[in-house]
Amino acid sequence: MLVVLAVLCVLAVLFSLGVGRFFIPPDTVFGIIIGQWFPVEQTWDALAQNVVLNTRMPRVLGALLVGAALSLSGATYQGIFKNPLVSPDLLGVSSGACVGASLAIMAHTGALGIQVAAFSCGIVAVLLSVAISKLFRQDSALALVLSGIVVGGLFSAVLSLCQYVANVYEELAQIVFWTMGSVKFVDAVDLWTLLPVIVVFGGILIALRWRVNLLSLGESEASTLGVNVKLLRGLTIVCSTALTACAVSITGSIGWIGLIIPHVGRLVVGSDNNFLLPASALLGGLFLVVVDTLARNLSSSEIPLSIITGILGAALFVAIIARRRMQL
Amino acid sequence: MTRARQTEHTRLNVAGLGYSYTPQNPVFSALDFSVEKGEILVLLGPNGSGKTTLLNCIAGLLRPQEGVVELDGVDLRSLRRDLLAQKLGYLPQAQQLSFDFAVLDYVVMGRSPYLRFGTVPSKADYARAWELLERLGIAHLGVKSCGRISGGERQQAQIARILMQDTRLILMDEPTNHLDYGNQIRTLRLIASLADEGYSIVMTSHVPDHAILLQSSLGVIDGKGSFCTGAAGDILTESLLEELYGEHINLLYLENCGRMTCVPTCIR
Repeated sequence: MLVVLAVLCVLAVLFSLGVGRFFIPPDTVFGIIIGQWFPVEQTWDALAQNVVLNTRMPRVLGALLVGAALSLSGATYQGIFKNPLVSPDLLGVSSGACVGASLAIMAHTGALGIQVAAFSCGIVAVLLSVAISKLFRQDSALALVLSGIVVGGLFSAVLSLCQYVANVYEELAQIVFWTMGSVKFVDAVDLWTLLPVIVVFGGILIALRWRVNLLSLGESEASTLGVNVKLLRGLTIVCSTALTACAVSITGSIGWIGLIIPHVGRLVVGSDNNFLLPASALLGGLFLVVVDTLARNLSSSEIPLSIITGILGAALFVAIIARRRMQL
Repeated sequence: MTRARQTEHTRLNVAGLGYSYTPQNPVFSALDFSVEKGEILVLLGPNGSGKTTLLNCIAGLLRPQEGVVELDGVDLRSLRRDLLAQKLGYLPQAQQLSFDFAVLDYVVMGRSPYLRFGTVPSKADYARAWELLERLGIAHLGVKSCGRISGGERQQAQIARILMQDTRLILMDEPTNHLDYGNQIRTLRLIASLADEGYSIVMTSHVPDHAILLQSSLGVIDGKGSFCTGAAGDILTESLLEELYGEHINLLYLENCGRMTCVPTCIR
């Protein structure tokens, strides 16, 4: 099953690279990519090569990586908080990143400044959630969830404040666009920052995937199975948060993926995180590549990703609930 | 010499144990008892008397303020979590699962204390899980999801998961709770056969007859801070039952079954 998903991802990428105002057939796209390393007879012109490699490649790969990162951390969060309605925003990382990005936009720092500010504010929001949960004097997942809601609410308010005081003609539009997510401006540098983060933290999560099963039994049962709950939960939260913060800081916040894709994954491979975590990563990448292809081809101007993921996500979610008669 | 000494260790030794959620109201204090290899200890006591708290202290889930718990002569506090889980399995009261794991995947989780960080269960572990399911007569459930099986079947899956842990001591919190009468009897029979294999078992119960049926040791927590242990046949008396439950309960000898039983008098 995982192999099928991986193949689908590759096909989606090849197709997506060819689709656009300037159409290139998938076999030509394949030739162009292979031609980078192997001697292949060139049947295409330099323009096609430029479009595929320089214009579309970064954003398509960006969509693949960001989709994979958000879904992987969503599936992990759902496992460790033993709650199927949880998304990677649970501890406030997305709302924190939005505030960071807004502040940077208002300070006119430029693209790099926005990314750094979004990443750091996302992390700060999660740290704040963890700190507040300590005030509950109870080291449970529920305390974390509650403080995550508090922090999410707080940062949403700050975001609203930013939007309220922002310059309507330049800053506000940019803030709103950022909070709806796009891979339009992803470039090679972004990819090279994203890739190591995903490989390292995603790799740790994949290595720990079976242990996420144990956490989903609840704290005391996991303890009696010999799990150091604090350590394992902490480690998985750090990895998922780093993945989400990094993804969001590059593309802006993209809703629904982290919540919905793990459910699609459960339909496909079942609840065992042994298979669910890798499957979620592949499905998430696939989904975002498809969504981004729609986003840039449905109309003459770009549609922000969150709008499409929101519409598709709502429909998918209803379909899944109807299919599984999920006990909510 | 050393080997001989090791086997002499009591499997579970509890000495001077005291726990309180708030400093003014200790749940219990200065509690002493021990459980040998192959011994069953049934803990009786009214609701809220601290039976589950006691199990949680033994399982290391709660930190008792006083006293020590020793497993095979080793202080519990000096054991790492995974090493503890190799010595002690815990069957908590029925709990809701958040995700629909297949029964086999659920059972195989019992292997976790033996798996190194970052590894997943091997083929041999899954084969072992199948064996245990067969042994408990629930192999046909292996591929079913935990959400779609009955309470009795779920409990058997949980016991299979604990047997996967290869421990020598098993704690069970009201193992017959929520089970129909037939499943209650079958669960008791399973507990007896585990004890015959050498497992030591500490279980809580609300039915004094369980101790009689299992011919076990009995530990009585009355919720006012006093605790007594002994063979069920020795310490179970009508006055003890009345003191525990606030009702008069008859302790009768059943000619047909060749055992004692506890029954209340008519209610109306």
